[in-house]
Amino acid sequence: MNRRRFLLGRLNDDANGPPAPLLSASSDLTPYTPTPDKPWNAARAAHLMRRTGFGVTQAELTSALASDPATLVDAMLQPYTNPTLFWSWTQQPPLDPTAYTQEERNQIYSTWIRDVQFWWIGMMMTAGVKLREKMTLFWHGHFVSEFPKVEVAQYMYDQNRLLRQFAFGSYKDLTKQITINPAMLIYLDGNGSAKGSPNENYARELMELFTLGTGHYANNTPHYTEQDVIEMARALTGWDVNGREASFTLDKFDDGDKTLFGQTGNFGIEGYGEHDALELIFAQTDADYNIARPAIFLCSKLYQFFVYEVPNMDIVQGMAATLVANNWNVGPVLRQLFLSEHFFDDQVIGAMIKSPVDLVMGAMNAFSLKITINVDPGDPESHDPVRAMTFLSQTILYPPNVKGWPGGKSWISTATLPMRIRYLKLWIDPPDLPTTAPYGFEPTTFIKSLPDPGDVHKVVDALVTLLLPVPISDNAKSVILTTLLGGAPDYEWDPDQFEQKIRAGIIKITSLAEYQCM
Amino acid sequence: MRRRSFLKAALGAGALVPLASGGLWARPLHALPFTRSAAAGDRILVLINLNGGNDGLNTLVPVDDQRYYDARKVLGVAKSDTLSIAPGAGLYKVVQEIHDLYSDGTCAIVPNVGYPNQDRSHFRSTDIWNSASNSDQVITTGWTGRYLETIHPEYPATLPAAPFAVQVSSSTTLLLQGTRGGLGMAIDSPDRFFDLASGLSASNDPVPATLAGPQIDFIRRIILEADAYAAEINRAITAGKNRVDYPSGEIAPDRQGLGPQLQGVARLIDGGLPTTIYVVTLGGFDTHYAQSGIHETLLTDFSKSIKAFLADIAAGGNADRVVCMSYSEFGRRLAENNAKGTDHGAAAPQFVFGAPVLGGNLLGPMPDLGDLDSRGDVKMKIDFRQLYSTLLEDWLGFGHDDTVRVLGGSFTKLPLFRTASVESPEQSLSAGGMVRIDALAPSPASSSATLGYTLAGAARVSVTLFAGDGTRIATVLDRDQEAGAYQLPVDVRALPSGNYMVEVSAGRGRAMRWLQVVR
Repeated sequence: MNRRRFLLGRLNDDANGPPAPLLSASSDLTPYTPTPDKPWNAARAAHLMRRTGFGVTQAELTSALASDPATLVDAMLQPYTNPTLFWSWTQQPPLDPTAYTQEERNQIYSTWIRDVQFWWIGMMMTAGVKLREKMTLFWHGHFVSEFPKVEVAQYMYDQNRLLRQFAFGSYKDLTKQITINPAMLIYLDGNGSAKGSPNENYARELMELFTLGTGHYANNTPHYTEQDVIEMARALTGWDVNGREASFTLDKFDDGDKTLFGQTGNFGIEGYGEHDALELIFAQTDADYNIARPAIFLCSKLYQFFVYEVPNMDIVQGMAATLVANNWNVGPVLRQLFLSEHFFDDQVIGAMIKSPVDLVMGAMNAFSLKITINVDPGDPESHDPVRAMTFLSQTILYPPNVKGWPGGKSWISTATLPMRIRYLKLWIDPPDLPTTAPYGFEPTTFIKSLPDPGDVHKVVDALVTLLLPVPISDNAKSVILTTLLGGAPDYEWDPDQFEQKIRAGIIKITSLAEYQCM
Repeated sequence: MRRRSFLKAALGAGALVPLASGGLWARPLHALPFTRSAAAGDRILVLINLNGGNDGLNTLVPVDDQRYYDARKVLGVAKSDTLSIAPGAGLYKVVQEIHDLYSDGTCAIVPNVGYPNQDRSHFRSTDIWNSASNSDQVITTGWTGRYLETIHPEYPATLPAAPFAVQVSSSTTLLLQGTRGGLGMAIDSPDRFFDLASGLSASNDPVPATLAGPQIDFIRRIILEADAYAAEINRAITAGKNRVDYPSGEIAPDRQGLGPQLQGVARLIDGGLPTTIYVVTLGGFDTHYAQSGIHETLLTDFSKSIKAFLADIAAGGNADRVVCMSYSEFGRRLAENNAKGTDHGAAAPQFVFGAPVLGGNLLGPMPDLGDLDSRGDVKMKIDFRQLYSTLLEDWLGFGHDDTVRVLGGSFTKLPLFRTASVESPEQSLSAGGMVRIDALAPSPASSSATLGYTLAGAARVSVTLFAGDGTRIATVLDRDQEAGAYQLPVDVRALPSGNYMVEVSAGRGRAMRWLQVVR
């Protein structure tokens, strides 16, 4: 990569916060083939499972090692039917505002949104669809809507299903669908925006956060201008939310000429007007990479979500080319990425900081914890995974703002990190409290799932491989060993008898900085 | 005399400065809100982020400007719903407590604050405010981060006992980033922090030579900081007290107010936490749709919370140590949209609170609604870095050259403080009684006003006229005078309408009063 490209990539609006190290993996998107140097081993298999799912169990790891990356990734990308939630409210229209007060509606909707959260985290734990759920989470953080503003649980549910429908689908088609999605119409005020004085909110975020990015500040080459915001807002007029659908009213549509990206015409969306404003966005070219700008924009974010917080623009370029070549379908991009030399490069293994969803759902999976919800929503130490995510500052269906969760180092602070460590401790070694007991971690069963449970030295190695993405020092391993044994000689090790020591030994591992990475 | 040394020389002038809104002669020292003059090292700055872009025009309302009412047929705030602070300027009645503070002389309002070439992206504009960059420049550190790392060159090699800055949040922002890492810590619940953080430890094993290595180093660093600060935070939160009631937490569904955040900050301050910067955030100001209702809720919370906080701080004897400033990424467009909301705008008023603030002042004219930018937004008249430069130099006692370096340029300061003293209390006491302003009339004036002042002893006397934004306009007088009473005509015929400040300095004493000019 030439230096200018690299710097431009770093100055991109996508990269936020303090500069990350300038290390860069040297590998590319060439398919990964196991070699004696880079064998298909437990570290790489666990890496693939963690990044494409939520944590990894010994059973998943064993099964992955017996398979090969292409078989595994192809299975993750299988077509699927879009599931529906079974509660009856999901089939009903929004609550009648004349029959319920605002307060009553808020109360009812907030219990329903808990249903959706519970349903969603359940699917995250479902074998075979974890990547689909992870991509649904990606889209949720990209095409953001916040429940507190949307207010109507049905709209959030419908939007969640739309995002899932397009998990591996066409970015362009999803952009078109989300533009007239009721939750989005409400969230970014497209609802009711009519000719005369159109609302600019969606028009701006559509270009800034959903498709183009603002552009480079230093050399004043914006991807869109204030004039484009004005004109795009006009092209998006005429849409309202009606029941659970969007509806279009021709009288409210501004059918005059608009000048967008230097082209003049009667732009609209969904077949209204003479030209499609969203097609025009997707036809914008990135001047630095000479490829469709939305492809660079999206692939940078996919890279950050799946590989590392600072986009490697060489890799992103390759991903973007694949996206465009595949008619904006994301599935082929993911397949190429997850099967690449770059993805399995030692440089990037363990280089991501776990999001709260990764941390919490990863622990639920890895330690076979029982998922329940709603026991005591006000108690930070209650055994509700969604509540735990909230205290760690990522509540699904409640993103912090229209830009979604910033991710990367921002997950870690003096406020969240001690809480992350504490939660793991509570789940592995619950104090004698009714609120934590139902997680039901079973130390002996867990140890017996490992390859050589009777050999405590091999148990330490297996735990490190399963739970940590990078190796640790012999000294650190001996601390774990000592804790597992609790002063006993190693020949007395007995997983059936050492329950409390096993809990303590695992907490040593989950309290390491390395455990926060994946 | 250069303004900076002027302010510095005027130590203790707080004892002499009239409360501008009341137009009163300085009270005897013991009646002042200052019980002592805080050394710069004890001083605290609380930054209040109004996130989403506060509608400044519906906060400080241009009540006599028909263009405002024409553009805001639905959302316009009627003059009768405002509390007057100056001709043509009314605070929306939902911020009644801020009006109280303004009247008490502990709130200054700075209208038309922004930056050149307004960026209307929330995120970009917030980054600009936090980093103090130009709008065509990306800076990846924050202005307070750069300030703190300048005064703490030993960091991060040596960890202090207490954090330099506390952000009441689950994470810190760009604001507190320095070139050597983060300079602040995030606390979302001071009560719980000790229990969670104490006793944590981090390995110092070598990290992998991959991209994972720096991540692991970063996480270990945060573990160490949390553990290191736990004891001191716990000591402060245990020793600290709140002495007033605050507005409750949830002001709307899933919307947390400022009350509990400021309550926590007050408790840490009362408990003696030696932290310089606190950051609190009230979100929800992005009112594109159905603004009426939610905007009032937010402003009310802002207003009630800040009044409670200042009362609490004063009750704990810390009034002279604490100054607060609001900031928001942009104001909102003059013209409302057809969804009964307002879109992203440009300049807006910001507020500076605290006993040390030269309050009761509107530091500039109301927005000129006949001279909007190309998007129909209020134009910037005061650069946001003028506020920062004033806070750094005149409040935190930061050197001028360092301030220029941290802010990437020199920005004219504003007359925000009663005293810029960074010297000891004894010296400031000895400086009392040198000069007082007896009268400045008429105000409003159109051709000439007469300044009456009394000197306690012989001194070099300067009388200087400043515009509301702090720009020095003229030296009216500069000569040695004997003790006695004087009358000095001040010619205002050349001045446009607006608020002006007249400063009289005599040796180490200083007095100021506001003069309104009407054409």
